[in-house]
Amino acid sequence: RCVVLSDPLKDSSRSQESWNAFLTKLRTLLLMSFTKNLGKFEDDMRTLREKRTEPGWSFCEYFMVQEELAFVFEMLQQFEDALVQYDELDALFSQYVVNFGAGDGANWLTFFCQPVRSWNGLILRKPIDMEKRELIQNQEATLLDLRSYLFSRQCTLLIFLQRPWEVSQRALELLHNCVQELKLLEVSVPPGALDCWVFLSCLEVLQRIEGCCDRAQIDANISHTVGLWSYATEKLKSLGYLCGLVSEKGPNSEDLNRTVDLLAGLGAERPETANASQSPYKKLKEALSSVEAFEKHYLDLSHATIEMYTNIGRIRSAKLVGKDLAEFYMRKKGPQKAEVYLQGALKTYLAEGWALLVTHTRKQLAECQKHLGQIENYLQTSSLLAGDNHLSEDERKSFCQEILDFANQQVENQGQKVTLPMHSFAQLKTLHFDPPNAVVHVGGKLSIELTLLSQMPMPVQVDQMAIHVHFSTEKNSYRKTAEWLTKHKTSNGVINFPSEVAGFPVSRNNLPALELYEMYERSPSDNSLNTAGIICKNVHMLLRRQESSSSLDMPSGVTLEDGAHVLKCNNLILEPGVNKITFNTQAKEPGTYTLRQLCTSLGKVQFVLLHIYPIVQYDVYSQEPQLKVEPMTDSLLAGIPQRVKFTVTTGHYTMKNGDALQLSNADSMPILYHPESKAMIYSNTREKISESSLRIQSSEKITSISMPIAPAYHVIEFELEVMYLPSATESAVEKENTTSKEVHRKNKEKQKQENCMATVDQKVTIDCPWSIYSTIIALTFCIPFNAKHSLLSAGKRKYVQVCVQNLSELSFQLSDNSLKNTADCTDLQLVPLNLESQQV
Amino acid sequence: WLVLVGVICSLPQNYPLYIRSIPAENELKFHYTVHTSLDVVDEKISAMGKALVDQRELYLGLLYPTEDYKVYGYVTNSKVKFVMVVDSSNTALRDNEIRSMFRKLHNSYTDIMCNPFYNPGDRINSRTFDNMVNSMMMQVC
Repeated sequence: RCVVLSDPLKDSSRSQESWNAFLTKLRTLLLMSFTKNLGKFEDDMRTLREKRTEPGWSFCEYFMVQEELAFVFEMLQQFEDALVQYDELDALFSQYVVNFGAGDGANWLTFFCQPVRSWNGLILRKPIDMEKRELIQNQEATLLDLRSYLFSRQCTLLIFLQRPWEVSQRALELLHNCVQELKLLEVSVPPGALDCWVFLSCLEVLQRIEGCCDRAQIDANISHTVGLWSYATEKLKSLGYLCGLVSEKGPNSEDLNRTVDLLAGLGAERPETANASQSPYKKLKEALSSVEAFEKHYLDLSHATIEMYTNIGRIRSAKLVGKDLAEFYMRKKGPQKAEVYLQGALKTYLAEGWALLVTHTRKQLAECQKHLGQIENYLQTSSLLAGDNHLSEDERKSFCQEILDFANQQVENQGQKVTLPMHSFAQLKTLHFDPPNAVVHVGGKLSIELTLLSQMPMPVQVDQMAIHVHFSTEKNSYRKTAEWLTKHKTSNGVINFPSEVAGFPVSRNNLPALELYEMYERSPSDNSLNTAGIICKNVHMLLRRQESSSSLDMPSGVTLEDGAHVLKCNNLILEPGVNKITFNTQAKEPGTYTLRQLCTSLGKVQFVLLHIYPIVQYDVYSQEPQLKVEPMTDSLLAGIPQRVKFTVTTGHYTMKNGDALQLSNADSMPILYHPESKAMIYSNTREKISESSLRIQSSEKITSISMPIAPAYHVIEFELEVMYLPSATESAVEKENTTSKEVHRKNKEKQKQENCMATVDQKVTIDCPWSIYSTIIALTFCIPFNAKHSLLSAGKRKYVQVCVQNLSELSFQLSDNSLKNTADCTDLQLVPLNLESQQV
Repeated sequence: WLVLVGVICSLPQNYPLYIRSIPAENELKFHYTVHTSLDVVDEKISAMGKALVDQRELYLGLLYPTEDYKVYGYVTNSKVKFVMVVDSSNTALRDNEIRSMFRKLHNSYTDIMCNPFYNPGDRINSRTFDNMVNSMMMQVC
């Protein structure tokens, strides 16, 4: 322990060396001494700690001992080590509290379970809070005192270590912890006292941090401090509610008493903060003193918190604080301001699909809108709530009743009806046409059955339900002629509508399905495949910006199209759940009818489905009457009676009594008929309606066929026999009939001309009762026989050979063949050589 | 003893696929807590960057403390978030117990995704999942 300094005052290298040696030795010895002493101290401390299970051990005594060690470290500027000591004390205490809660309590803890009498809040201005330390030393400290002191020391050290953000984080933990510990130890606390304590502490911590950092740093670290701001706002709010400062009438006497008690528990302001004009103490006192002051402080805090949250991007937290503000405004009868916050929050919850939160916020918004007298919005929100599954049955009914009450108000001065979108009230599920192909002729009946899913919780009396229809005609469009429509428009008549699921985010279910088509590109030269791909045909629908799609909640304007064509259904009751409603109409004008909008009226309120999608249409056609005459067999053979079918399509013409078809007679084609000929009448859909007997009158020039009475758009069918008698002088003209043309093309080499029957066209002029023009029908008769004759000689004998060829497909039996001599030559004798029984 | 479990689907919508709480009252407050905690989850995810390979990094730890609850978070590789809200007075619950609970949740969720009839993004309606969550919550209470 002896060091030699040689020539300390001289400035030579040797003296430098000896100084160095001295200092080194000093340093080493000091360190050694400290280490030894501290080591011994720590050992003693540890022994003391081991004794904690013994009765009579006091935490406060031990506290003092460990704190001494901390002081030493602090003095040596070893802040980290000092902090560790306090942390250990912290942990030890916490463990004891936890064990107490678990039933394993220590005696000395009971002192800390005394009721809380003072809630002054943390004071962090002095490095060592001697007042509190004394309390601990004298074992008179309460839990809050102990915790406050402990934290103040930790805070000081952390600030020395330049870790202010850790202070705020630990502060939050501490405050939560204390609240929990007091609860665990079942310490009685007057209502609001802890709130005061927390509020003051939060502000104190914030001010302390602000005191040691500059503005830029604070702004960059908002995420660390925002928790304290939010907590303080929360506590101030609950204090305000507790002390009656947030009601319409202000605090009553009970509230005032409570306020006085709370302020009393704060005690006098500590000297450390007495000089600061905006100390937490002063703020709280001011805030609790009057309604206006409270409002000012609370609004300041809330707005600051919301701004902070928004700046760091914690939008949801900002919205939640906004909702608290909205509640505040509502209590103070200021629904105007509340609405903004509620709308903002609702938008977030809707966009993210949190159904329960949407319902709750909507309820609050409904109240707000009611107070503001926003009738339309209020009814819209009510209808959404009435259809909301997350509410109880009673609540849903009450909202539904609100709508009905409004609707049933006397319709004075024919004020504007309130128009709301339908999706919240009822949903269109399916639509069913009868007839199923949605095609009907003029004058025909069409019925449309709608399946509507009512979202309301109770039966609703509806005045009228109307479908607004858009009428259009497409002239010269083949697709709209009766012919095409009745043949081609097939559907099963049921159209399903996509369901809208509320609660899911809007964007998810509104996306239409991808319409994908295959695409092939072939090379023009040899038709081989160049490219194959898939393209999406409705890209523009999918990539539509979300903002442009209408929001489910607040439509900008709901207007009804004005249309002359409306299908109505009056006085119905919509039960909750599935309802089937039938609309009947009789078609008047031919054209295409597109169902556009669906409107449900209840008194002053009407719910409108703006756009029925997918597109639903029905067609009305008008048909001209037609007469068709066709042979019953493939080809008509001359010379024998053939059956011919007459088909009259009445179209828009109604057959009356006395209407008749007038056929002009031709000598060569008599019309044969049986007295019992019958006509069948069929409906448009080929259903047999009736039979009636035909009356045919024949005069020299005209055969008149009386038509049975038949309504429009029916079909009358009957059959007659006609026979064509060719005169002998007519020469058979060899014509190819049309069917052989195809044969001709197929086998070009084989010309089977000899197998074609000669044809004759016979025209019949028919006068129809519906038209002033005559219809000319051409019937083509085929001559079945081809006759050839040849003169054969055998020596002096002459033979006449007559060859008759049957070209038709029918078998004929020829009999009584004879050859007549037309010239007046009596010596010619023609002897038939055939036996009578031979057949051709 | 209050516990709430929430499974929230991936960006961009962030709607809940499954929320369950025991006991069932105060459900609204839980929903708000879980919804708000998404802010912190998003913050943590963006702070962590793209590399989320390690199992340990999936566990986000204590998201933020409130007076009454502790909120823990966990995010999967496909950005599905799990949030658990536990009563603060439940001090017996250790960190690695929370981790194992999240791991169980993750495994069950993976099983649900393997179901060919399940469309990603639908709400979870599986009895197996319910049972798993029930047993987990019973353990805690």
